[in-house]
This record gives sequence, structure tokens and C-alpha cells, in this order.
Amino acid sequence: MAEKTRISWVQATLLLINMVTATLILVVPAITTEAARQDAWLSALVATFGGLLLAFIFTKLQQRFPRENLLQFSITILGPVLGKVVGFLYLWYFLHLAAIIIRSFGDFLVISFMPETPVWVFIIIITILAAYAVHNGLEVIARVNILFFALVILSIVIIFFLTAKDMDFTNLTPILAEGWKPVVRGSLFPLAWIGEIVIGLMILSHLANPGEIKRVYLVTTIGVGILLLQVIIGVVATFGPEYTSHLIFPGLTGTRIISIGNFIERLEALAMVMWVGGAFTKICLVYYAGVYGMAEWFRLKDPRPLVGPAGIILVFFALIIYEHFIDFLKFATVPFPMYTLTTFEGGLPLLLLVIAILRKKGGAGNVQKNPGSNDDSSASTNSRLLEPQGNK
Amino acid sequence: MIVLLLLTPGCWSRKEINDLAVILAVGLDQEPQSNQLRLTLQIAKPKSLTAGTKQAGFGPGQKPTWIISGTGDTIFEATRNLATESSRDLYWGHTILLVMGDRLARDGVNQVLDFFARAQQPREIMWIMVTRGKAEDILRSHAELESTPAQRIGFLIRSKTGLTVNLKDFVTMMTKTGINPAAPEVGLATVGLSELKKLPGPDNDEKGDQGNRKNEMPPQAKLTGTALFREAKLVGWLDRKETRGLLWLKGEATKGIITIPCPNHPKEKLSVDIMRGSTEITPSIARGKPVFTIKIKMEGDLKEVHCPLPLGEPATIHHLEKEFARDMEERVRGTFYKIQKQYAVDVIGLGNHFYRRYPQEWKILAPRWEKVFPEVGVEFQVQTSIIHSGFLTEPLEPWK
Repeated sequence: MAEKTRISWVQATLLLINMVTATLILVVPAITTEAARQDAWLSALVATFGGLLLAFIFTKLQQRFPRENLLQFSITILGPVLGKVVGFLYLWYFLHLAAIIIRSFGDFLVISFMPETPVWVFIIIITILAAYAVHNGLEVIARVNILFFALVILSIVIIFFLTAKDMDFTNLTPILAEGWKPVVRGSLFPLAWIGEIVIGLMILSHLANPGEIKRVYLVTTIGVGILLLQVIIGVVATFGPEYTSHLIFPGLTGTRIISIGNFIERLEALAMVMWVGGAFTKICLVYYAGVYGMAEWFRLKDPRPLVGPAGIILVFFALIIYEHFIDFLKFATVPFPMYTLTTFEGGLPLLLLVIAILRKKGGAGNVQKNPGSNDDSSASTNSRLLEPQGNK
Repeated sequence: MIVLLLLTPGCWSRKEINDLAVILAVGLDQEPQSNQLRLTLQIAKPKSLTAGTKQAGFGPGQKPTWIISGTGDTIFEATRNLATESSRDLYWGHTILLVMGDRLARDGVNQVLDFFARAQQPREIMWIMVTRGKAEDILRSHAELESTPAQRIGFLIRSKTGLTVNLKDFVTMMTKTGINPAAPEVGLATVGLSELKKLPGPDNDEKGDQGNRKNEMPPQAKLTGTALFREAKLVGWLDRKETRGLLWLKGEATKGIITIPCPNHPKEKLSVDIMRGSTEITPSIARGKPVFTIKIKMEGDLKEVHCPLPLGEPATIHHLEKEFARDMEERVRGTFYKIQKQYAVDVIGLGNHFYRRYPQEWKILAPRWEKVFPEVGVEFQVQTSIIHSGFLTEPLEPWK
């Protein structure tokens, strides 16, 4: 691609963490707690380990093609026809995900803050904003995100410490009363959200130093895991597993009960900051992946003309995607993790990786020869930097 | 960007503060005949709250709150009916207090709590309480130090002399396995003394009589004990002394005063102020039945001594500590007897403690916990220590 965009590993990591976390922590604790009860925090750990596995696949895949994005290297691996089919599937995934997030962004604001505002108002406004960001490219999104990330993290930390006095950690016991089964079931949903780091495959080709791919994925997954763990523990300890599973947005309700010394109260604005900041990054990133993927798919030199049409599609898609938020929660508990984990976040990347290894595609030949050099010594980094040019 | 700037700062569902009627307290009753809900709202009158603080609570003209009441099959329906009476939009975001009449509470409160937990404006931190009689009367009560009854009750609760239960706590207790909810009970009482004493004398004309009636203190809200629930239905009450015992059992607010007779002069008394304490409940299984050990540790300071005691001697202090422990144990046992045998409601959450220790056994026990709980064996271990005895060692004695 003609674009000469470069982002640092910190920018990439923060983008991915913010994308997953901010939206994850509002909805996920309820769904996970419903399945795993007081063991929900174990589910978070299991999901993080699952996430590490996925991150491993993505890392290996990206390391083979450090300067190509998902759609480019699927063509390299599978050939023009099958590669295009896979690319098309991913385009669908990006659009679907973007529509889901845009809609739930609007729904959250309507349900919890502005009940009289129709949801399309939020949908259109956020889509216009995101369109503007995508139009300006990845570097802009990455820079804006650092600002948002600071706000999101600050909110999470403030909320955790201010609710600390309402927490009763005995709510987290007994441990494993029902065995591992509910824990694993509860971990599917957060895992599906962590798996969204597959979008990293669309942006990490812009990493200034491709040797840092592994670091990005590792830090992202562990960072998300820690934040998720902390939020689940906080919410379950505060409300107890039963009440938590009844709540639609436990993270929000957690901020609503903050009352310190009768004057630090009503801090829902923090939850709103968290949600709006995180959701915006997520929408931008998925939207970006969708638009640039489409451009790649249609072999366009400049993806910018696609931003507008894609935005219009997203608005309509978001409006019709489900009728009621409960529909989404129902869809999100089992069908959604199954659908994304088996295909876009797990199955397809694994398939691509296996085929790439079998067909010896990509620049990881040297990695295979001496597996010890995985821990990027500068020599192998440089050689990997040089390889893709040869491939193209 | 200009378009966005024009669009985004507007708020669709904006409400200015002077368009709102801020609800301070909510009272819920069940109508005797129709079984409909009666919703009573105490609404702040901003003008009299700010400008008229000095006269707050004096005379019906300057009352800082306005009380409206309406009925409906659901709470929300009742608010819609009330909306026709209130010139401003009702705003629930600052509701401090939810009082429920006992008639409603006996019928079950989970239906009415749904509205407050589901709706967006009411906060989960509003205090929940129950009254014998009508909730409406509590809201209409008088507040002497604070400007509104709602604030008065809010401050009473925060002083932690009784149980403190907010909506979130109540819902958690209701939904959690192996525990029954409890909420503070609020009642009306004439508290405080009138400044103007009724003068003795032949002043029997009409004017004087009226004056006296005016100077009688109107009833004020007061925390009178605890309401006990089974599932979501009110089943019984604890008085104030028993409430203290319940607080110790639950390991919640542990402050308070204990007055015990002097060891050597039983007629004289001494008072200990409890500074801190902890409660530990350990479940175990003995002969196939659940058994609980409740260990209560308390630390207190000596506050007042009415009898000559050699307080300089450590032995005396140890003796007092034992006395102190015996008294506490008696009170805790009294409370426990009442909730275990009389009402059979597990408001302490023994079942939950058992579940956390023995999750598998609890599965068998849970469905019939209501029948098992009155029979469980409980062992109390009360340990007390007296840390300080104030500025004096031995009590002051006159010269002989």
C-alpha cells in the first residue's frame, strides 16, 4: 500500500488494549458472572491464557509477513482466489463488529444516561466522528487514543479504589464449587473480546520496528487480562455473584454506588468517559480495518473515498442489527464467541498459519531454522525487515 | 466540524435544574382496600431550603418540603398520576431514602424494589427502611436539626447506631444464597423537649391553651430497631437492644456502649465504650449437622465508673473484661434466640458462611435451610479487652 504510516509499539499496544478493555469491562462481568458465579475471576484468568494462545498465532502470522496486512498475506498464502474469499470474510467480520459496537455505544448512552434521545442520534454522531478519524489515518487514531487511554485507565483505577470500601471479598468464595466447567463457559465471552486483537493484523504492518510485534501482542493480552481481572473482582466483590448477573452494566452500577463521606457521589460520568473513550477507539479501529481492507480487496490505491460509503453502511447496519439490548446480550453469551472464535479469531488465522508453514510462505524461514532467535536479536529483526520487499 | 459543533453540545433529554422537582424521600404503602400502591414523595422546595433555613420546619407555611401522594398498580403508574399534580418533572437522582410501610413489606418488597434498581435516575445508594404503620407519616414528620425529615433520617443512619442498609445491600442480601435480608426500622417519637415549659398557674384562657399546643414538639423520625425479612417478605422485628446484638453478630457497626454492674458493688454501674471489634463465623459439620462457632472480639475503653475499684490492678481489669464479655454474650444470645427460634430467619447469613466452606453439602441443605436453621447448634466465644481507662486510674473518692 502506498501509505507510509508508521506507529510505535506503545501506540499500537495502547490502541489494542483500549479497543478491547473499555467496552469489555462494562458488559462482560455480568455475562461471565452469570455462567461462572463467584469464580468469574478465574474465568478472566482462563480467558487471558486463551488470549495468549491467540496472540501467539497472530504473532507468528504477522512475523512471517511483517509489512503486509491480513488481506495481503492471506492472498500470499492462499493464492488470489481463496485469499480473496478469506479477505471477504474478514471484511464482513470488521463491518459486523463495527456495527455491533456502534449500536451498543448508542444503547449504553440511551439506557443509562439519555433515555429520551433516540439511538440513531448517537449512532450517526459517533460514525461521523469515527469517519473523520479514519479519513485522517492510523497515526491520528493512535495519537488521539493515547489521550483517551489515559482517561479510560484513570477512570478504571479511580472507580476501583472508590468502590473498595464496598467490597466484600468473601463474595469470591467458595472457589470452584461447581468445578471448571462453568469457569470455562464463562471465559468464552471475554476470550472472544480479547480475540478482537486479530484487528492488530490490520495495523501492525505499520509498526515502525517489526521486531516488536511479539511485544505488542504480549503486553496487550496481559494488560487486558489484568484490567479484566481487576474489574471482575471489583464488581463481584461489591455486588455478590447473584446481583451482578442481574445487572446489564455492572461496571456502571459500580460507579453509581460510590459514596465517600457523603460528598464524593454520583460519579457515573467516569463510567461514561470510560465507555465513550474506549468505544470511540474501538469503532475507529474496526472501521479503519474495514475501510482499508476493502481498499485492499478492490485494489484501490487510495482508501479514502470508501470512508463515506462504509460509514453509511455502518449506520444502517447498526440500526437494524438487533432490536433490543437483551437480544445483543443473548447473542453475545454463546453464539457470538462460538462464531468469532471458531472462524475469525481462532480458526482462520490458525489455518493461515498452518498453510503458510506448509507452503513455506513468508519471511519466517530463518525463524524456523533457529527457534532460539525468536527473542528478537537485532540481526534477525533486520533480516525480517528486509524480507518482505523480496516477497513483493 | 462546524456541523458537529452545532449538533453535539445540545442535549436531547436535557432538563434544567429549575424544571425539576427533586425527590428527597419516597414512601411506599399498600392501600388497605384496593391493594394498590400508595406512593408518597417528599420534594424539596429549593427556595425555602436556601433562603429560609432559619425558619425551616416552623409552621406549615415555610416547610422546606412538599409532600404529594398518589396511587397506582405499579410505582411507575403512580408517578405518572403524580406528574399531573406536580408542576415540575419529578427527579429521582437525589433520593436519599425509601421507606416502606409494614403492610406492603409483609406482602413482599421485591416487586417494588425492581423499579428502583431498574430505573436510571434512582441511585442504588438510597437507604431502605421499614416502618410499623404508614410510610407516609414518616415523610410527614418533623425535623428539628436538619431542614428536612429525609436528611434527618439520612444522618441518623450514617451515625451507625442501627443497621445501615442501602438498596444495593438489600438486593445483595435478597439474592445471595443462604442469607435473609434485614432493614432498619424507623418510627415516630416525640424527641427533644419543648423550649417553652407549660407554666403552672391559673392561666386557663383560650389563648394560653393554644399556645401550649403549638409548643408541643411534633413527632420526629427515629431509628427504632430492625425489620427482618424472609425472602422478600417482612416477618418480624428486633428492638434497639437486639439490633445492637445483631450488629455484633453480623460484625458490622461495632461501636456502642455497654453498662455492666460493678463486680464488688452490684448496685453501682460502670460503662464501657466499645471502640472496635470483629466477628468471625466458622461453620463445621458435627454428626452430619451444621454447627457454627461465632467468635466475637471486642475492644473497649472504660468511660464511667460509679464504684470504688482498684483499677490500677491488672487483675481488676481482667475481671471487668470477663464481666463485659459475659454481658455481651448474653445480649448476643438473646438476639440470636429471637432470630433463630422465634422468627427462623437467617439474617446473619450463617447459611452463606456454610455454603462458602462446604459448597457441596450446601446443595443438599439449601432447599430446606429454612427448616434446618432453627435447629443448628451455635457456640459463642466472646473475647473482650479493655484498653484504656481514660484520664483516671482509680475512681475519685471523697476524703473520709
